[in-house]
Amino acid sequence: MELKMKKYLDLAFCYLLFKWSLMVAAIFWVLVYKLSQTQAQLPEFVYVNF
Amino acid sequence: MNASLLDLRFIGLMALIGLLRFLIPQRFYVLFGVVASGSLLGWAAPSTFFTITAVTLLFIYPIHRLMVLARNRGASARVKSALLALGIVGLVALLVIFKAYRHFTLPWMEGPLISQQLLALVGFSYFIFRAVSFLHIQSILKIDERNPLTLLFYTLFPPTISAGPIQKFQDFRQQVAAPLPISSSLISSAAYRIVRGYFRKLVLAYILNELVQKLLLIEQPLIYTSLLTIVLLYLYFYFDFAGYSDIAIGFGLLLGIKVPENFRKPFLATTVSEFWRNWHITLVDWFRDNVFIPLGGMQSSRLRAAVLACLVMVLCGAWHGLAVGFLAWGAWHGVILAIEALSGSKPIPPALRSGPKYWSHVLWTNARVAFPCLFFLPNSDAMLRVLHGFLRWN
Repeated sequence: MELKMKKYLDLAFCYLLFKWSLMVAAIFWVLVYKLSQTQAQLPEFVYVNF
Repeated sequence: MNASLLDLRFIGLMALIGLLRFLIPQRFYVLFGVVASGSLLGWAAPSTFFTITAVTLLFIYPIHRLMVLARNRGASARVKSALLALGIVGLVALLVIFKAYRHFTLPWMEGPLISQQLLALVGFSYFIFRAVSFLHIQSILKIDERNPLTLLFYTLFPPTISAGPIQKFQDFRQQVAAPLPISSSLISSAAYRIVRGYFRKLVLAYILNELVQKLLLIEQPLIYTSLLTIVLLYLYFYFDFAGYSDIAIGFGLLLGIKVPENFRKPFLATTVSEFWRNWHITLVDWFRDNVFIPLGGMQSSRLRAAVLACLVMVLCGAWHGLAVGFLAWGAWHGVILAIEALSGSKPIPPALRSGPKYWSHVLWTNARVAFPCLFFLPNSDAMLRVLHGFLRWN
């Protein structure tokens, strides 16, 4: 039972770690790599203009 | 510095306020909130800060106190209604000036009637929504708010100032009396919402926007290109605004306030009415509480409810901008809602949400919602090109 729980927790933790890493890495990629290379401006949120 | 959730200095200072508030005793929370929000906005967007503060303290608060006085002294219903009407008409007039007269000029005047700078206020229409909601709800729930700082904190609350979500005053007031205490789960929930919000905006919406821009450059699109443009545009609007809402909710949590959700899996709706209960929820709730219900939408015949639903959507379109495209968008949704109200169409119950019938309803609902996203394109040439694409097979 304990082993099962530990396995489940490990899997949940791995999934969480994967999700966070993916999001942070992707944000970093757009901000630092993509936007600085193309010198593009990030458009403002659409609804801010309403 | 701009009062924008994309400005690093603005979001850095907002996070700092969120962390500093843990050092402040609870009884000083509102005072701290007003000073901190005022300083932040006064620095980032001074004209917005001064306008919102002036309207709140010199117009909304006095009207509220007069209404409380009228209530306590047993004034007639006519007096109370007149005060409420005065407050709401005044606020709506401000919104109309803000929306309609942005570029208003008179032949004998050299420039715009109202300076561009004054009309370039951050989130002014959302401020008006909050203010109208406050005046309306305090008259129904008989709220007696003596502290003008609570009202000012409500109107200046930095995470939601630029585009909502539109929190109800009674909910905000209850929460400022006992803001969320610091805990690891609060910090992790806030961090998760903020990171997810930036991921949606900076990655997903950014990529979708790039793709849409590329597709719009095609001179003679084919049917599948037009379909793809609409789908990507629809997803872009979702990730852009849901991302913004996530960030606002995350920073709201850091500041101790649970801001209401704006999206609840709208793509799984089986009717357009259900879609609107799950997309931009706080704005739809605002229109329901402050326009639809006061005009008798809940207790009237099906026909009247249908006409009112149509009117509300046209108004909602007009709020997006006084342009033919936005009005057409509002009318499109209004007509669909009216048809659904007249035909008594109901969403598929949760227990039956599987199988081809369910998914065909989902697809049909999304198709009807995605198509009018075209009306949001900034120029009509692009819109017409995409529409022509539907007539071209190869």
